Amino acid sequence: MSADPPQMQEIFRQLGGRRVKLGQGVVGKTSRATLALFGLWAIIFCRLSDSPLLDTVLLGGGVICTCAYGWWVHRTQRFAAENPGLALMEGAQLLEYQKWEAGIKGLPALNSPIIPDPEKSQPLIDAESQGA
Amino acid sequence: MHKFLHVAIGFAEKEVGFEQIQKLFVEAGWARYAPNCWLIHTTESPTSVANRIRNVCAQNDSIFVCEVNIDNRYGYLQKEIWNWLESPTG
Repeated sequence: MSADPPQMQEIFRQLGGRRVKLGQGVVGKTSRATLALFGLWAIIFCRLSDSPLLDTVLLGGGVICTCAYGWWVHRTQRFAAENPGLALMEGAQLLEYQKWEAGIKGLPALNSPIIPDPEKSQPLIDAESQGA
Repeated sequence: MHKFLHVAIGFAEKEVGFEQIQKLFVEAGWARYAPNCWLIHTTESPTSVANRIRNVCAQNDSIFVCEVNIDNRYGYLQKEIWNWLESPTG
């Protein structure tokens, strides 16, 4: 079963229009890059000629680009799995996110380790939570 | 009379720069211990502080300000913040 041409045209029109919205972050960027890769291969196939040398250069370039793309996607997907929050951010957002530091008015950014309240001894059992 | 207030802001959409928030605490000492949480040492009321923060935040951002009994406390923070809680005026 196949859709009749007008329906297909409508589907492609919608896909080509503004209804397809790629998200931000790794998934969105990867989707765009994948579309660009398809475009690259389409250009390569269109430019294939009778010249073996030119075809080799074109296909070799395509293979190199595809390998580099695969390597990059693998790296970014792994990074996204390990750092989901960071992976969703754009560059400026990432800088802002990394800028978060504890601080006190009039003092430089705090980089010291987190410690328990030095004025209070750490309770072995929280008496209040036990209802004592 | 000075007291400690806890300020928490839940940014619904775009986060307001923390420098912009901290500029509101001109008269107060403050310590920021989490991305959207501050302890401030001030004579202002929670209502006054919350209303001033509201002016720089989006309408659907949540803002919570309350007085803190700093003597009844425990937690895990940087040493400098513990020191500041003990002596907020330096």
